[in-house]
Amino acid sequence: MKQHTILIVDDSANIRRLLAHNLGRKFTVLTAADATAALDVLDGSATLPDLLVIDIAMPGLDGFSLTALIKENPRFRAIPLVMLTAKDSSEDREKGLKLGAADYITKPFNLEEFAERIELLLR
Amino acid sequence: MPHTHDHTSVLIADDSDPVRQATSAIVSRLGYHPVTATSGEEAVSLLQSSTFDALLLDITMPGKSGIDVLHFIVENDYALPVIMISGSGDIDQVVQCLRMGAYDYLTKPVDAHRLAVVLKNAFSESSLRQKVRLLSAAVDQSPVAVVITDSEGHIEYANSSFSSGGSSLAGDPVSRQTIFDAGDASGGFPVKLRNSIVSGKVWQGDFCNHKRNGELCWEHAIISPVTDHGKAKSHILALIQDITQVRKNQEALLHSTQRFRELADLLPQPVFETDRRGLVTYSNRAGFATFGYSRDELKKGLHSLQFFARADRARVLQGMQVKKTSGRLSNHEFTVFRRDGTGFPALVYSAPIAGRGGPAGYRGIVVDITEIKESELKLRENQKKYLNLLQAIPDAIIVADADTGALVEWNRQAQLFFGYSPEELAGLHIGDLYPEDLREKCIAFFDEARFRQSGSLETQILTRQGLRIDVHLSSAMFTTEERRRFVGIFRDITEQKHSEMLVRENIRLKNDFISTVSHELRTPLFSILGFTGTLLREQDELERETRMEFLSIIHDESKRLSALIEDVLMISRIDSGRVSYKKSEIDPSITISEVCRGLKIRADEKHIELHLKVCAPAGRILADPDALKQVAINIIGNALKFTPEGGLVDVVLSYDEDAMLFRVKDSGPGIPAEDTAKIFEKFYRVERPGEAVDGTGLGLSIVKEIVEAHDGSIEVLNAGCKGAVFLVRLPLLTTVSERSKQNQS
Repeated sequence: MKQHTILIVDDSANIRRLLAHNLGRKFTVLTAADATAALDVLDGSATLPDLLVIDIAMPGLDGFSLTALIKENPRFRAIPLVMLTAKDSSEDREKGLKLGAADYITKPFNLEEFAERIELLLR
Repeated sequence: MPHTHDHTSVLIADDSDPVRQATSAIVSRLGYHPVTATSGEEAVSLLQSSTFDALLLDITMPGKSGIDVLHFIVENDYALPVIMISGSGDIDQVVQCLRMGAYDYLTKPVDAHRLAVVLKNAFSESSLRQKVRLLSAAVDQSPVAVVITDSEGHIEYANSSFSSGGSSLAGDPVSRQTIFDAGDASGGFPVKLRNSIVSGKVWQGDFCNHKRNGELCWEHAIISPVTDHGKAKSHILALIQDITQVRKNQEALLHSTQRFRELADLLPQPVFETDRRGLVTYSNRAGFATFGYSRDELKKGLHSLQFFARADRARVLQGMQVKKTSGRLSNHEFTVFRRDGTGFPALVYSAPIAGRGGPAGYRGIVVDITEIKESELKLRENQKKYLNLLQAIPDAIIVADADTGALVEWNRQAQLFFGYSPEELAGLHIGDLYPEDLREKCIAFFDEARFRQSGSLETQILTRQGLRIDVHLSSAMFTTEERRRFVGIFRDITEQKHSEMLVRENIRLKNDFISTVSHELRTPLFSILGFTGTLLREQDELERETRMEFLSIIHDESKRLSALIEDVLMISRIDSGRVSYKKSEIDPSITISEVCRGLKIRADEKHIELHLKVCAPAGRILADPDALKQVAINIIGNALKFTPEGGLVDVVLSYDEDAMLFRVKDSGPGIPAEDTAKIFEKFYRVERPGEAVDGTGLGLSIVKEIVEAHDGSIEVLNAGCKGAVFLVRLPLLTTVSERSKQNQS
């Protein structure tokens, strides 16, 4: 039985598939295609995921807005949150960390290293 | 001398009382005033104390006799006539008395009648004598030399002026020289003189002579014959006056006049004099030379007014009128005319010549100012040229006083640029042209011009209407009319600024584009790297199906990456203008049909009905077939992409009067109204929650670029939630009417 559950929010099906496959060996992985779906998952689950991976560039509500909503909600506030982006921008990084993200990772990245960083956050 | 008898006193001196009384009574009766003396002594005493007009003197008296008294009278030069009274028998004594100067004698007893006659004669003779004495004294003391000669010219009388005057006209009475012997040694004059006098005429004239001391002198003489009561001339009277001084004065005057004339002739300007009426009386040499008149013509009469233009004459006369009262030198500018009718501009300075009871005439000088006028004209032309130049310069130019900062000059462009009227500009300070926050800086910038050649500054000005305009300002200082001036040249750089802004905006867009492109590239690349990494790592563990799935994803993402790169290259080629379209005359329906056939497979995959309708008659366009193909692929491809499974995509190719109309309608979600303007922007995607749609975000940008390069247009006719409609118009080579004409023929 895997110890931790992770929710991945990304609009790209291929990315979701890639992350789900790679993180799925160590964690239980849930996925959502956009912010609304992600909130639905959180609201609908009895046990909250242990960590959230959120892509910034998404249609509809973007990653920042979703993060803000999560951090406003006392139920979800404590869940560690990692932001994913294809944009290597120090502004975005700063914005994400200010919103309360635990980490900020720029694509492309090494998947094994990514898994280790998540493990570190869950400890 | 007219004696009234009452005042005529007669002294009677006789020792005999009866004689005295009888004589006294007769004298009284004759109307004279008798005074008596009883002795010679008393008579002398009375003569000394009083004046008498006659003396009746008894010869024989005890003490001082009558002869003694007469002696006293003669000695003391008493002028009164003495009439001796004698007894009979002393005739010798009477003779003695008469010799001594007694006037007459009476014998005793004194006959009253005889006494009356004697006294009367005595008084009249005495009066005559007095007259002669006066005349001779007058002649003698006259400052004019008076000489009287006999008819031969021998001097009989010469007064003291003649003797003392040193005239050499005649020697002296003693030498018996005649006045004709003297005079000018060169001769001529004495002969004429003599002839004149001999013929009984008066001669009058001047002659030069040498004084006895050798000095040269001039004398004026009037010589006239003297005739005695119609008889032949007996004497010659000569009145001679020394006129050396007068002559000298005359010569000095002449000399002075000569000097003036010579001086005037040296002057290069005409100098003239007129009489009271304005007739020219004198002109210097320059006057004749300048105006071309001869001296004879001047003598015949030249009026000063004829030198002036008819229109100026009133002004000339008015000027004279003023001068008559003020007498001041004044100048006037006139056009004056030469004898040949040519005129020239001149300043005529004139002043009245002082005369008795008003001006005797006018005197003046004419200064030719042709050259001055010409240089003035040239100056004015230069000034005009400078002003025209200033006005023609398209930049706003302002000239200000360097010390006060007041605006003194500006060109038309400056008025337009700053929006002020000339009157308003004249009241402005150089600092008034700037917004308050820049004023100090701009004034300081002008002040710097004192220490440098010229300089420039980018700043803003403030118009009268309160508008701030970006300007490039250059300033410099120069000196004119001993005043230091600042000149400021204002160039409107709003456009330049705007284009700079556009350049900056362009750079920003390029940066954004690069940033976006790199982001867009990263996403598929991340998938490819991620899945290939997973496959390599887990190749033995993975099931075949999973491997196939991953390989398929890698393949799709690679295709996407490739398409993206193609689109980016296309866009950058278009942006940099390196795309060359191989345009040719084509039938668009062929290209469109081809594209639809090619996309049929994709439509079928999604079970979308792709329907194409081509309307007749077919038109022809000038286009690059490959570019048109790309337009069709991108638009129809988009329609297929956004249309859900089982939907419908409708493609219609039709024509209107002058354009080809390519219309694609889908049954997708449509495009929100707020996005219709942005969908042609690079990498713009309509945000829609849910599944991400594959694509580069460049398709419509490329379509727009191509359509515009073919002089066409593209628009989105939104059908709202019922789908989107894209309409492309491309101009036809020939219009419909032309085509139908061609068809008919």
